[in-house]
Amino acid sequence: MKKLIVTIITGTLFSACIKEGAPKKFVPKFVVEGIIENGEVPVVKVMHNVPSNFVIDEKQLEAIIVRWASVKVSGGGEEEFLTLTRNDKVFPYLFYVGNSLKGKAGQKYKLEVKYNNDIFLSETEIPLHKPAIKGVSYEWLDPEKAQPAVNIDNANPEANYLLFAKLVTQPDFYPSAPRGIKAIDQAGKEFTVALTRSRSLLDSTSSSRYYAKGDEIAIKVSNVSASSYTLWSAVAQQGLQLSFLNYSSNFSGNIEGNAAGIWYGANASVDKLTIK
Amino acid sequence: MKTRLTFTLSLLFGNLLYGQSVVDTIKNMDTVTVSRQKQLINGVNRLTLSVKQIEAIPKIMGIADPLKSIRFLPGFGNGGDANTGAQYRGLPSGSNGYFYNGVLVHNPSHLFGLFPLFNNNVVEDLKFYTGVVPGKYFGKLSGYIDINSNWQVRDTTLIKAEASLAHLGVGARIERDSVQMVEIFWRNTFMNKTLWPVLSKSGKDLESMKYDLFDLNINAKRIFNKSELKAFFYLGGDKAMFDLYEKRAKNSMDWGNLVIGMTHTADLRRYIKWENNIGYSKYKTRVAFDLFGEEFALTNHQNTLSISSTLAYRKSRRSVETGFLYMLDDLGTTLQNEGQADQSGSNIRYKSNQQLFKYFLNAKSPLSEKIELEGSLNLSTVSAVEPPFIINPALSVSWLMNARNTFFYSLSMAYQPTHQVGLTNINLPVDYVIHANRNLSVSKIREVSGGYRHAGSRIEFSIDVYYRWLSDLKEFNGNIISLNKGDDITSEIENGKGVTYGADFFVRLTTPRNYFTVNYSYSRSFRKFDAINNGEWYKYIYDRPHNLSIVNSYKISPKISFSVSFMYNSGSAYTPTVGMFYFGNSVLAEYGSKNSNRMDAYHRLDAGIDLLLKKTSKCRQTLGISIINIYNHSNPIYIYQSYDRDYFEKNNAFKMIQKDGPNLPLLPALTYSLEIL
Repeated sequence: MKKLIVTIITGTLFSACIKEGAPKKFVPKFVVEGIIENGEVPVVKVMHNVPSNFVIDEKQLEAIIVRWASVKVSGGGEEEFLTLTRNDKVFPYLFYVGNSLKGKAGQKYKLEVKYNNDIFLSETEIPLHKPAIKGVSYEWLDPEKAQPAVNIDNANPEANYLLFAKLVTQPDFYPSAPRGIKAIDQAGKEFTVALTRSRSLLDSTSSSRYYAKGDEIAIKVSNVSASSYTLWSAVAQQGLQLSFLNYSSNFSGNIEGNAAGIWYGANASVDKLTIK
Repeated sequence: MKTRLTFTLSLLFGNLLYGQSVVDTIKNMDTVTVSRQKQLINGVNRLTLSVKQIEAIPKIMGIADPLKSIRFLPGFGNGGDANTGAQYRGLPSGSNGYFYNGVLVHNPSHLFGLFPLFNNNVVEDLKFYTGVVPGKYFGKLSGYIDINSNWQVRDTTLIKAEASLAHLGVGARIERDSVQMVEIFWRNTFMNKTLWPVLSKSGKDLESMKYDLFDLNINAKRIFNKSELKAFFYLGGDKAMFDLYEKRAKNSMDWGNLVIGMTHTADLRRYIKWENNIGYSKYKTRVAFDLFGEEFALTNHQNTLSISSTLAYRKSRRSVETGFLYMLDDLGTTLQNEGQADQSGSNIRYKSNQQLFKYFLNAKSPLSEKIELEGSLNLSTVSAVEPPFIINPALSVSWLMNARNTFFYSLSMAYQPTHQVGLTNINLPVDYVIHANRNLSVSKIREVSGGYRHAGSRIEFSIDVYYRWLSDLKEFNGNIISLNKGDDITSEIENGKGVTYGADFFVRLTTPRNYFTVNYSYSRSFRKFDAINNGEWYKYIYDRPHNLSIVNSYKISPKISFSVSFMYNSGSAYTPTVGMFYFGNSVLAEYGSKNSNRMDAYHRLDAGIDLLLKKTSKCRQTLGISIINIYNHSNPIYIYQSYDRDYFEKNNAFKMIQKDGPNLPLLPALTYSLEIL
């Protein structure tokens, strides 16, 4: 009988083994982030990804940024190779900027990035509808924390709004929380969204989610296409790096080739307010 | 539960704690042997845990928890401190049916499973069924946990009260003339005044945490000439407030259960009983966020009405049960923005009704003196499901070597028409519950198991081996943002299969002073979904191969008893990050293979002392002292990747680090109990 028990147990344990897939390892690839806004020149950032245990110091930073790529934007009968530009106040501090070609609402634009033997392609369009900001305001949550809000005219039910904010002294807009809102989800003719400040890696002076007295804030509302909105939602998802969420897929975006990233068009409006 | 412990201490500890009963009479030729066999914890197709055994385990916050106690039984794993702990043979909590007096209970835990939903003061025992299960249970893959109230009727009046630093409970039990009984017990916590302010100092993740709950149990029974009527009422509510950003505690979770049931049992003839049961279970949860400045709330509800009727013939070792079950289940999910009315058209993310009708036939009979058969056959029909009829048979064969040793072999099939799709692997009330329909198939399981049981006078020993094939499993694809923005949440559900297999070893030693159990389970659990992990097999989150638990309860003197428990479990599987990149002014992670890493092993030592302070003919007072996680080992609920802001500010360089989520720290508790006769 003992033999029977041992046979049953060992038989179960060893015959039942499941072969798992091989562990996925880090795969080097490019990261492309490009935008073309209505009335603005295109801006494209090209970088590398790195292993998660990488310590990125100043020297490594140089290696992450791709500075010798050929970046071309075309659309509406125009075409331009973007120029590598340096701005040490932002990251990446080297990026590609247009000069003469400016985005037009309703127009489609193609992006082509060449680097050695790699070619990355994408296409986007700038929506026709320009968001109408009816007003900006703020509310004191406590004596030291003010939360800004933006009132948007909900004229176009197909609009997909991405929301950004920054101090006017900062060079870049940062995604706020919420990162975006679909017009179709808002029942009224207009709606107000209170914004929470995103923590920026570069914004080490303050880690607060709110603003303080004297802060001058610029709020940007960008209308993007539904596909671009979905891509940015996926980016937000990818930021939720918590093991208790049953998530494991990876963000890829709309760039063809060995790259992750987004090339998107936007029609944006900006308003400013000062916390008094 | 302290009052029950007092009761236990005052009597012969061993005899009552481990429930002696005459369970078998064997007649051989012209001699008659009466075997006084111990009540087995691990029987064939079922596990049984008495209220005294539940109380033998050191208690979190001084409160005995029936559901937590089954972690120490064979086959059960450990989902972590934030989980209810009912992960059986590699399947999640949602694959178990939780019943209270035969009535389904949805989400049977208060927050993080720390505080028990079932009040041990009014509980008689806990039973777990798997394989061949009674016909009144329905619709789950893994097994059924039924917690039964104490329905004994004598002729006493008992007033109970208990108090700890976290809660207060009072109750009364009135029994008259051995024919009628009413029991009521109310509990309320005041952790917002005591526990959370202390715990918040141990970790930033608990800052601004607020959480309190209440529950009310009412049981009543009346015995008539040849029948009896039992009714119960449970109402519980939880309110938690938590903060993600800077002490703005405006995010909240509210949820609660209402469970009502009535059972009428009639003795029609000798050996024939007729049992009718009607139950209603209502569960509602509302999770409200204002972290975005704009408030929105996610509301889920599940209401279930069940009616069953069972005709049973039981004589000696033979029994036959037949009957039917009808169930109506109503499910709904709404996402309500600020200022919008609840369930106003586009807010409804999910709404479904499901009806189930089941006919069942269970039989148990000896084929010979040594061979016993037990089987069941269920024929069910579920609304809006293809195919419309489902048959699930189960059969077990037992070979009774002698009065103490039994071998068995079991085959079973089961199905689950209501999917509980976990958004997280911790016990937050935000998991989606979705009905099967023509596009969302019913989940199925086929199981083969076998084992050995030894029931000695002082020792119980068991070995089980099993293999489970699972098909049409449902898994959330992880796109949590899309889930709340999409109109159809079922579009985020993937279909796949799985297997679990393993072996369970269990030993229980009993002496008049000592109660000692050791449980070791080797358990593997894998899944395969075309749309997940490139279609390759991966470890399920509850794939925790090694599970060891030890409980020892020792009566030092008539007034003092000591208990200790230890638990060791392999860490749960999680998906690692293998890469990162800078995008959109933030750092994004690149994930490796699904669940290819394992968290550090879980281990925890708990201890408790129960002191009988005073005992007279009218009054009994006890004091319970318990310490959870004695050596303060960190068993984080989850881990996550984040960039190291401090490192950046000091070295002007980025570095990703792994951080631990909250964990249960060393947690002492003091509970005073009073019982007045």
